[in-house]
Amino acid sequence: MSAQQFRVGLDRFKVTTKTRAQIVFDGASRAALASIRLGSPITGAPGQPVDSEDLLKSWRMEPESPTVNVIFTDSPYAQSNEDGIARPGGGPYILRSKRGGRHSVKLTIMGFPRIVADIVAKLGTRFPGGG
Amino acid sequence: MLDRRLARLAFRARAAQLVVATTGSATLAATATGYSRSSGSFITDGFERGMEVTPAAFTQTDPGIIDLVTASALTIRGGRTPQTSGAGRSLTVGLPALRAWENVKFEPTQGRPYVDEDLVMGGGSVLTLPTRTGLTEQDGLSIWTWFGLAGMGPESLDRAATALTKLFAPNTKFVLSDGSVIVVRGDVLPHDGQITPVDGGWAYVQVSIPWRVTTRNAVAA
Repeated sequence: MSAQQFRVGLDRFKVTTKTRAQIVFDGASRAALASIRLGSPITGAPGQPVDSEDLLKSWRMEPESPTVNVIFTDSPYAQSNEDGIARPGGGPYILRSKRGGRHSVKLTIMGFPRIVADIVAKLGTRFPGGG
Repeated sequence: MLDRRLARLAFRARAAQLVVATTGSATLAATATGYSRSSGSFITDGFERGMEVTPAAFTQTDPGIIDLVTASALTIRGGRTPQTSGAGRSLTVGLPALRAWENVKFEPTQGRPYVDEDLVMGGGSVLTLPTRTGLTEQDGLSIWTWFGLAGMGPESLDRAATALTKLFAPNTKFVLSDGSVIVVRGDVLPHDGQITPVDGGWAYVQVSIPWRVTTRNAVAA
């Protein structure tokens, strides 16, 4: 292989790597949001309890920078639904929905490496030009 | 696959070993207002107001709530039955005596700390092939919500949360009776949250222990 060919291959590898990194970033971000909102077999998160869907829809994602997406909610009862503690009462926050459950945020955070591994596995390992 | 009952029992057994503060075996007296000592220090031993302390080798054995701590005296809410100084006694703060186990009806008692347990199952995957007999890996959370007394300062809950996270430090292992091994994860650390006051005279702190278990898959005939 000539130096020129090696350089071309390396440039192609750089582009491919950046593209794949972006795919993983976008895919993992969307999967994390879905895990919190709807639940996920990868993380085990049950998703948000559903009545009017206000809570579920309150969970959103916005880009903060090219490499940071922020997942957030402004629902005043999201915390109680997350940890099952009523506020301000402090007693148990009764789950009335037949869908969803508790601790989806915690499970998503804990299971994030699995989300990333799943996206990477689906991406495959082939690179243009062989290898 | 993980036997959830065995896992829950393992986490409970570990939590029951918790020591937040203790005198160890010491020479202690019970007074009309609490406990006293002539050597050693309750402050150095880690006692804080708001903690529930359990006496050993005293005539009075019920736990008491600490209202005030000095080096040589603990003031206990409601006082204590006086008993002259004696060796071989101890005062210990561990997991609260009142425990809200999952799916067991529980009513908190005003003026007494209590703890709530949650065992939360996470995702998993097959590690080795063939799948029929391969190793599987599953994640989960052991969540302990410690309800302390409101208005007593942060120290008692700070010490409780710290003691719990140390008790379940990363790489802590539980070998279950079926051979499964649960390990506290180190890639995602145990997390203790903010102290949060709620109505009813409580303030709580929640400690989440992330764990992972590897088991051998067995497909039923």
